[in-house]
Amino acid sequence: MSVQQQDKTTLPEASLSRAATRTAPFRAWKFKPGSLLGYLAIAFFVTNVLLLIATVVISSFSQGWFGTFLPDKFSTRYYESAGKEHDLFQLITFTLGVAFGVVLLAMLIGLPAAYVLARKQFKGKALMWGLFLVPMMIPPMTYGIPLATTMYRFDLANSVIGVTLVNLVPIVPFVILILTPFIEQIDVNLESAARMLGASRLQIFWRILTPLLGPGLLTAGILAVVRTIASFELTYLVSGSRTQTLIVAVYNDAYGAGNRPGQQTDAMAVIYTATTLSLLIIALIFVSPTQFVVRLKR
Amino acid sequence: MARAIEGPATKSPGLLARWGWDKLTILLLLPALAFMLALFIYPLIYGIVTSLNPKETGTFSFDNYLNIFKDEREVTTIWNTFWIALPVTLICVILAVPLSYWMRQGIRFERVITTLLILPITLGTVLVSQGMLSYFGRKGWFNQALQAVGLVNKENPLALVYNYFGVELGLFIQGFPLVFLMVLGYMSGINPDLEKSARMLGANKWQSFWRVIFPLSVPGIAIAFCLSFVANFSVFPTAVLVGQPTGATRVMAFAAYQAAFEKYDYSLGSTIAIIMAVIELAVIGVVLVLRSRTYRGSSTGGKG
Amino acid sequence: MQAIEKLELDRVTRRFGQTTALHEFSLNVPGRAFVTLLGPSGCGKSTALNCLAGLLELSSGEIRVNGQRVDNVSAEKRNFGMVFQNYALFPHLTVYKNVAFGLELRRTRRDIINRKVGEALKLVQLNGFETRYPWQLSGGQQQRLAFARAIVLEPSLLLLDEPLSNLDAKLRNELRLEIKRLHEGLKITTVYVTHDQSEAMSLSDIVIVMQRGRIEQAGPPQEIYRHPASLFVADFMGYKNRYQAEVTQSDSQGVRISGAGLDLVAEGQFDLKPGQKVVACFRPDDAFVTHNGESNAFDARVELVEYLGKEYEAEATLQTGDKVLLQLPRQMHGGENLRVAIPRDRVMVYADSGGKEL
Repeated sequence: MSVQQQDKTTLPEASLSRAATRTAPFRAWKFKPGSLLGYLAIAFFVTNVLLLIATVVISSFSQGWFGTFLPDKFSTRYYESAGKEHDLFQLITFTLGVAFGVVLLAMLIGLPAAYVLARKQFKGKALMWGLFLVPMMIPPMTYGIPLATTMYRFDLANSVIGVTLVNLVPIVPFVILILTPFIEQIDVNLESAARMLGASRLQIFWRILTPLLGPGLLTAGILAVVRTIASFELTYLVSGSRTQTLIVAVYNDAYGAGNRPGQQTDAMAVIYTATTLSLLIIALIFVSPTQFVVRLKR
Repeated sequence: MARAIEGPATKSPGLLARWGWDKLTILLLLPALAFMLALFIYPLIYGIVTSLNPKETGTFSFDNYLNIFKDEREVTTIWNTFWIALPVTLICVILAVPLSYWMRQGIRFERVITTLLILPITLGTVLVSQGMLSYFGRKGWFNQALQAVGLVNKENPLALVYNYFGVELGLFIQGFPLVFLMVLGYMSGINPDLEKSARMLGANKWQSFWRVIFPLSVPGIAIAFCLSFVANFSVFPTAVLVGQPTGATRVMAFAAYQAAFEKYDYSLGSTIAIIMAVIELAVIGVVLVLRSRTYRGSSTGGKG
Repeated sequence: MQAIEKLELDRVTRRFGQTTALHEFSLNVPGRAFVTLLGPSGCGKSTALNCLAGLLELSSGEIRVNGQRVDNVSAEKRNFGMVFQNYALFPHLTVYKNVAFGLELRRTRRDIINRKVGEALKLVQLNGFETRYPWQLSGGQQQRLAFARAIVLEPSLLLLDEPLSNLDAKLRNELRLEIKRLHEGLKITTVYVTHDQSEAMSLSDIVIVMQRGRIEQAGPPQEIYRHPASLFVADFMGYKNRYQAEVTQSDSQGVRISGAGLDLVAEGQFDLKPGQKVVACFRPDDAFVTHNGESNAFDARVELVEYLGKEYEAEATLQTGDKVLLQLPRQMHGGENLRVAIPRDRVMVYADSGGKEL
């Protein structure tokens, strides 16, 4: 600075007497006691859950496990016996087929509805929302039992179609619920701009909405697939011996008739888990986990 | 200088247009609407009608409902379900609130932790139940660990499964992560300046939580409670696999299933299912009323 | 509450990881003064305010009130009032309850609370709004409510963090006057943070111009406005005409500089030598049209003209092609050739450090 300051104000800018200055310790790793407890609690929870899953996995590979830390002998015989009792290939393909079928149909039905709910105002919108939310507010049994009986009446039970239709009922609202905020996030002006540039509705859908919705569609799709694979009550009510999903098969092994060794049920559970996990891992390649998880918690 | 736009006067819009229903809207909504009507509303109504047409009489009557409330076993089942659902939901919420408060400024490794937390849900009820039987069983690792530390002795391991506690534990494992994430998400959305403001006005941590953060979190807590209660009240596989389905943990979902598919009394099954729905809706109603009485004003926790 | 006679910030430093947001910030604020921290975003003014409030811990340094250290006292015990940029009004409480919040925490008697809240609301002209909620108030009313809530506790120091930036221009002017009126009436020592120099000018006893965590200049508004101490301050205060130049003559009265085809004399005491590279600047509104053979005159050709109501602002070109901004009370026309001059004491000259200041 080369300009001298004019007469000093009542405000000396610097240098006070050099009293001992305390230096605040600059903690690079700030851990408040409350949040430390929080982390510990979460760690405890997660550890137990992981160990729980580990137990099932280890047990399924054991030849007998009697209260010791680890089983004495390991073998894969229970996987073999599970394979003999169930046609695993059919079971897995059926499960995946239903899951992807449900999701595809749910998207076809739900995406247009989500668009309307996100963009348009109309009388009865609240009613429409209510209609889509109610399946989440009442037990699956309440509509599941009559739905199942209807399926039986129309001879649709115990078939791929029946299982798919039944699972669609909670998934369509689920997909709508997830997609609507994604659509709301897309600036309405983008569509207006496209219209001004001459794009037709269909072109707007393909060239603008779908690409921008990509992450949203993927997220909704993955969550819906996982949810369908894990869906128990509804499938259980309409399934037969060749129209079970993995989760129903595991339940039947655990609770149903017949005397099977627990390890075999565990083996089935592991197969079920492996299927779900592989899908999740493949999905994580395409979608970032936060998006995924943020939506799941809604 | 602009001229008024000339042209024929437009007709007064029809009823549908005034309601905001144009062709495109109807076209896009139709599939979902039709689907829900056919596969949800219709079965629901069918279920209600069936429940009012008991198997024995074959004509319209409330007998099914009356019989259930007269049948001691069924009434017990209703209480069972209620006393399974309510405590675990309350515990989830009561634990989630302070945890969320401590973590509201954000979690390190947020993605990893959130993914780990929702693991039990993604893996499904049946796997968790199976796992519990081994892990929390009399000879499982959990008891082994407690014995190693000396909290429990070998002859009397903790009976954590095949009973009421097992079901509560199973529901907690599956329910807590979601409740926590919902409450955390809601609390994180509260404007941090509000806390700073409270501090400047002299509030200590407890006062700023109780007088500012907690009241503003009530809507989120209420939603989390409702969703959790609904899921817990509808419990089925967990109650069967980890509990005593024919005894202390006979739940309504199971009873409905038994009535419809083991006794082939669809009417009775529907009745039980409908009573379940009514109870759930009643509880939700109570929560919403309580919430609106304790909290008035905008639900955004930010600038007023 | 005991009023502040003296507020001292003694080499207050605040680091965030690798960055230093506030570097050895030292300040003496006399009691009852209105001090403004002025600067662009990121200059550290909000950091300084938050350190004062106790919401941020100091990395080093001290803060003293009337000679006693307060930086080791937690924010809730300092009894400083604070108004936030987005007001931070409690949305779940009524207007009354918002203002009463601090008093209720101190377990004041209900009748005293009633009286004090009534007085505070009357002071900000919100009496009658007690049962409304913040979201039912307009922006200006919300700001006044935030004020009332802070002053009802009779704080010894008032901290205002850009309270007017969320308002439209008209409201901003109205409320600026309100703030001035309140300060005149209550005479609470106030520290105000803003990036708007007109607010700083109109409200303050002392203006502190900041850049990158350091004080560039501190002084009464008139001094900052008329004698910016550095190129940064000059630029911030609207000395929009800047030219690189070289010193041709230098003595105890002033310097003569040459650049952009201009030959200007600047009055004052400079530490510059002939041949030294400098930056010279002046305000558009200090220019005036001249016909006499005045010094510091130059020719300019008007290009674009803006009508501002009271004045005209024009962008003109010098003979060298450099642009010059002129603000004159008379109308100008595109293509017009003007002869313009700047008073000698209105030319600012700074050593050219290669543009580092800006």
